[in-house]
Amino acid sequence: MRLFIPRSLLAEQLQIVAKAVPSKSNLSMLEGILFTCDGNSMTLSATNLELGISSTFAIEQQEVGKVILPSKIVDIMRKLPGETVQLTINPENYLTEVVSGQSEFQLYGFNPEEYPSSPQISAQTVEFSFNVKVADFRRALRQTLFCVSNDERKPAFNGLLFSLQEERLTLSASDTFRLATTNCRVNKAVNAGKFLVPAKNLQEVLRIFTEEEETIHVLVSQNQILLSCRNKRITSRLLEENFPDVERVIPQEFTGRVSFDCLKFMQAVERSSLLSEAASNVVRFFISKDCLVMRTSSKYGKTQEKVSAELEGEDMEISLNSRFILEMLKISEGEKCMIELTGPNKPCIFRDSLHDDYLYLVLPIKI
Amino acid sequence: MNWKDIHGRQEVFRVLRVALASGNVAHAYLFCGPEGIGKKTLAKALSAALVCQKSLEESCGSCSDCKQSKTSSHPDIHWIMPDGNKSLKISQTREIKRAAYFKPHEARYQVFIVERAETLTLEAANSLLVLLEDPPPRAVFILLASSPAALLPTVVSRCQLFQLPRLDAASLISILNAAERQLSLADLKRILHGAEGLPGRALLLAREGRQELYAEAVGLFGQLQSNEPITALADKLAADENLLLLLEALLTVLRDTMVLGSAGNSRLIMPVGEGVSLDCLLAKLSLANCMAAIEVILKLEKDLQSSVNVRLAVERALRRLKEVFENVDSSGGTL
Repeated sequence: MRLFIPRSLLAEQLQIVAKAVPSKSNLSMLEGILFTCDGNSMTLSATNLELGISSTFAIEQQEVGKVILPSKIVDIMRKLPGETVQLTINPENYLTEVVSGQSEFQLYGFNPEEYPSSPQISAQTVEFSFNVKVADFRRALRQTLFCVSNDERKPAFNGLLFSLQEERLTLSASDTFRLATTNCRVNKAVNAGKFLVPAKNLQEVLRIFTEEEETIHVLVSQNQILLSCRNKRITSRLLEENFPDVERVIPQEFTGRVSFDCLKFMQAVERSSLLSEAASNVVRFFISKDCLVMRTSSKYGKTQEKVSAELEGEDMEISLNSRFILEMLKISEGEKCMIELTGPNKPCIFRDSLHDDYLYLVLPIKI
Repeated sequence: MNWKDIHGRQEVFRVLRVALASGNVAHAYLFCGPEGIGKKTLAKALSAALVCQKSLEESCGSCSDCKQSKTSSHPDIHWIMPDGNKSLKISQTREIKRAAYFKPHEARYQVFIVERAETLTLEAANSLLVLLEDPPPRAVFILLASSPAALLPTVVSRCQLFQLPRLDAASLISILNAAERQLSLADLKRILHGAEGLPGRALLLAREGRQELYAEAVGLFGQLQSNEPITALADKLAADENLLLLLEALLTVLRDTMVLGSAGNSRLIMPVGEGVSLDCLLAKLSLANCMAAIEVILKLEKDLQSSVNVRLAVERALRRLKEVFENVDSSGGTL
């Protein structure tokens, strides 16, 4: 089989799938990338059996064939000198010649039949399905992914909880110190229920699905989730764990509600955190009728910041981890930011004025 | 791998089959027995049955899952083994832990087979214990070990334990026949004699040829008596894949020497191949020397079961053997 492909196109497509190639695997063919050419389109696939990425792109009329090439091809393609690349694959031993300009590579390919078939979700095995706008889904991921735990001892908190109900998808993430939930509108939703997706694999969704106007089709089976958008597909295994009931930890009544300018508040917290202690980054907040004072002290010195704010309800003193606050403020899109308070040693809820559905609950530090 | 392809383990199969058919699969199994008893074969059969699409009780052999498990490329069957001759590390059990909390890739279960579980370090065993205490619903663990005593009692108590007994001659013969080897009666006798009820060793002997091993063992004793440097010999032995088999052959040679020395009747020992003679050993070794040499080899066999530096253990044993042989010269005692 012989193929001619524009080099920059192939290099760009390889970058997309390369993230799913495991650096080391018991199954040696997984350390490669599967090339499938069906005549006028080419599909590249990679998987580490937990995350799978594939991308299809149109090429000019070519021969039909398949091969697994070692993942070195990603770097080779980036550095080759010519405009086009010629791939010549020997169907007997899968030795593949890569020629571009003055440069020639011979790569030891693998038999493509050995590659694990990418998970197929058929009408019988599908449990949930829905369509969602890329822009909506990306926004929801940005609002939640950052508070997923990296601690492998708590597998349930390494995932993002998807709850599908009618035309609404709720995403929730937590690391046991804080919790973020948000909604996005979906359509053509089939079935209602919950499932847990590894956050690490969803980072790839943010990286790969960047065309904001497009729609993502999502299919979920018992074990897998499949997200496809135009020519790209991402599959991920689901987590086998129970996420705690989110509704139960969210307080329903408040003693006070304070709102302030998001940007000014963020800058003040950033300055205060410069002096906070490394481990828990404590900043102490004093909230009164028309202003919010934050104080920090450590062995290096003390600082005080004042931000104008509007409080409805009782005055309050509360200590919070400034890193948690800053991570939320960075993704906040509205001009204003609100905090709903329930007591000095009780959780408080941050809200974004632009997204009513978004909720970010932080546990205070007891002093 | 189908249940009926494995011979002489009917009791084990009955238990496993019932568990599989009723869906009451234990979350962890522990198969125990010496090297060559068939732990891996059994683990293969059980894991193939657990991931088969068509049949609940056993691997059907024809579905895509069974084909993949046959070639050890099934994405839901994970084999975990120590690197080289070292121990199973905590990083490996952490990796198991991470993977176990995923749902299976495509099968009903995902299976983790831990080979040589006796080499788990204390931290690794404790980390695995956490997983065995609170296992993910669709993960099955199969631990393979030489003996339950080599594992932490807390780990053993969380597994369904199968002590695999040695097989009788009839089962060994059917295993050898299934492997399609044309064996003469004399060969068969020799293999059964050497296999000691271990199917794995029987197959290895059938493949390796016992004659050559026996000759190699006699040759090795010859080399030890000459002035050849021990280090080169130790290098060669430590790299030998069939080291344990060779040690068995050494033991047989010593046994035969003792039998010949005390009874003088060559009909009591297995027929020695042509060109191999025990005369030289017979002339040099006393009964006590033979016993001392046997102890050295048994000690080495035991050492090799735990996590040791193979090269060092072999060299140490060779030096001890040489001492035994040199002792002969100084005392001058012969049989």
